[in-house]
Amino acid sequence: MSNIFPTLDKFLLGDNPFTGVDHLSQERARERLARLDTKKIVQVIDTAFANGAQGLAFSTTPIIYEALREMKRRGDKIDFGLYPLLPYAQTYVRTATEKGLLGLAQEVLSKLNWKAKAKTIAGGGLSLATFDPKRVLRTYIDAELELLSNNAPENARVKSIFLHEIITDLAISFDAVDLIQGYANHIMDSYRVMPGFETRNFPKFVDFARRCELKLDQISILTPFNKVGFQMNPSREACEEVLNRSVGVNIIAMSILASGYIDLSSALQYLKGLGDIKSFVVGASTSAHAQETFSRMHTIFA
Amino acid sequence: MRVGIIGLGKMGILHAGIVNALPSSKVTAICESEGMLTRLASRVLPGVSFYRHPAEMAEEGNLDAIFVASPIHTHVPIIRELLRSNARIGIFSEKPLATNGTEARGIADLARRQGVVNMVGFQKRFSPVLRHAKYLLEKRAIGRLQFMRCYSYASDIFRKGSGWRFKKGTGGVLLDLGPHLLDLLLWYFGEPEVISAIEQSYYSSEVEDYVHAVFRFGADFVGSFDVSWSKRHYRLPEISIEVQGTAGSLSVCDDYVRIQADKSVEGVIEAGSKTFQRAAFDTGVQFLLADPEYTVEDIHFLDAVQNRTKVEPDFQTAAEVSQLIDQVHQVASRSEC
Repeated sequence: MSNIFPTLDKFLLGDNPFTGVDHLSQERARERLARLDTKKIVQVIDTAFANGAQGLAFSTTPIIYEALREMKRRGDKIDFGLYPLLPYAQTYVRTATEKGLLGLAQEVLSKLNWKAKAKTIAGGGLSLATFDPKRVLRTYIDAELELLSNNAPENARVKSIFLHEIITDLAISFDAVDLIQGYANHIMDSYRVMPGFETRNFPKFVDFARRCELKLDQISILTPFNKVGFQMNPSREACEEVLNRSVGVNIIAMSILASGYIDLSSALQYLKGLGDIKSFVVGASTSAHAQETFSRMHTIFA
Repeated sequence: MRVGIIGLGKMGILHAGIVNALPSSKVTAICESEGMLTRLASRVLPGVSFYRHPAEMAEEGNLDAIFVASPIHTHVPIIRELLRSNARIGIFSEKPLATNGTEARGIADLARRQGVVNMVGFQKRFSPVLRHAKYLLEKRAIGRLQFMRCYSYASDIFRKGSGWRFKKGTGGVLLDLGPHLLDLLLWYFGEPEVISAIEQSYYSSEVEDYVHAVFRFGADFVGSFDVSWSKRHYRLPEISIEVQGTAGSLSVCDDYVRIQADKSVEGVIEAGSKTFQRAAFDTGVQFLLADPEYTVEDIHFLDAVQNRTKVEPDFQTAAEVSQLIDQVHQVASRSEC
């Protein structure tokens, strides 16, 4: 049944260097960000695609939309996969800090376009008195995906939609089966792609997904895999063990370089020795870096 | 263990998420005064009892531990109520413990007299990188300390805000971003004397957006402290401490500790330059939400409650931080006169 959805691309370019995310050094992230502009970001994307990357995994930030618009404007015909990660948590954490959770809900509502707003208000979606988390999530996803489709180049195609780890991992903790089922069904029914889940608690997520009665071959899981166990919880060994016994699961490995702590060669050797990993996502901050990374990945996994 | 959460802001949700995922604890009660938030949470958490008043939750909830994650100015009155209603429950308070040193000291002394297990959310003490820096400093890896500079920056406030964070007496950047860094300074270097301080507002009308202070930690160890929530290009809040000693220098932030040691200290550090990255320490936690230090912190607290033992950093530690904040404010207001 898994083939009803588009197949995941094997090599994905991640957007962390474009948005100032660096789990090893915020200082480095700031320096990079100061150097990057839309033109340079598009150059990195072009180079990555020319060297074997087939998709782009990204948070829905203004800078990514700008880069996609630029690619659309110049009439790109290249086929590639889009892997949006929703919601872009940092913005919302900041809003919650500044305005509280109710202020956050109002801000989310204010950002929806008029069509989504009309639909939401008619359905009582963001009316806090009759708050339905499932409906809010659906409405939010629809608004973001509409924005994405308006901005993306012609032949770019959404291949999976990821729920941000803060939502996924909270849902695990609170056993929010209903919310996760609602999300997965909406992604499958409305977008005909694999519902994706970002998590830093991979073994716990796999158990939870089973409780949610999600078929592991019909969802994708974006989670860290690297040889030093960076951000692999509860431990590298536990994550590897679950990977080895989870046949057919669509894993997209992230943090494969442990944010630059591991060199590319030993990182790729480790991944090659692992079980069934469908895709790899890795960031690149320069064209030279993108070329080296994706050509080496291609060679090693060819 | 049965755990209650007071306040459903981001820190309340974070602790609830961690505690609920740990094998020996469950969130069974939540206290939130905002009715709409309560309705919202009850849709996602059907098995949890909701309360409007902390004392009611403490009395009826049959709880082992409570996390207080409400706005800062409510911490002390809430903790006082909890201590009055049920002295058996362990209490964790988010940082800072109080809006001023007098209140913090008062509640810390009361909790100690009642023998209640208590802790404050200075989770940076559980960061392996920041712990390693303390170890190196304690082992005199850079010799006798001479001078330091440090900062805590975030890109949060670039327009006038509303709510308690921006009100005089309950808000300001020193109360919001300052406590973590001040706690680290106290932990690393001991209590300083505040030599000078300046506070400046750029976007807020009642509170400061920027603070600079000069500290003296001993006869010949001095340093400067900078904090702002209006610093551009800091996507995430960031802390940094750079310190020079008679035998080298050390800089530490959330991501790494870098040391330049003039000579080897046996079993501690080789002479030369070395950087210890966060990834080198990362060993995984039972359940991760945000940063691993939150999980380590919560486990420490819950273990202490279960075993009825003392845990650090506690209310006494937090009172020292609040008193230092008061001193910075006092010195700054004197310089304005």
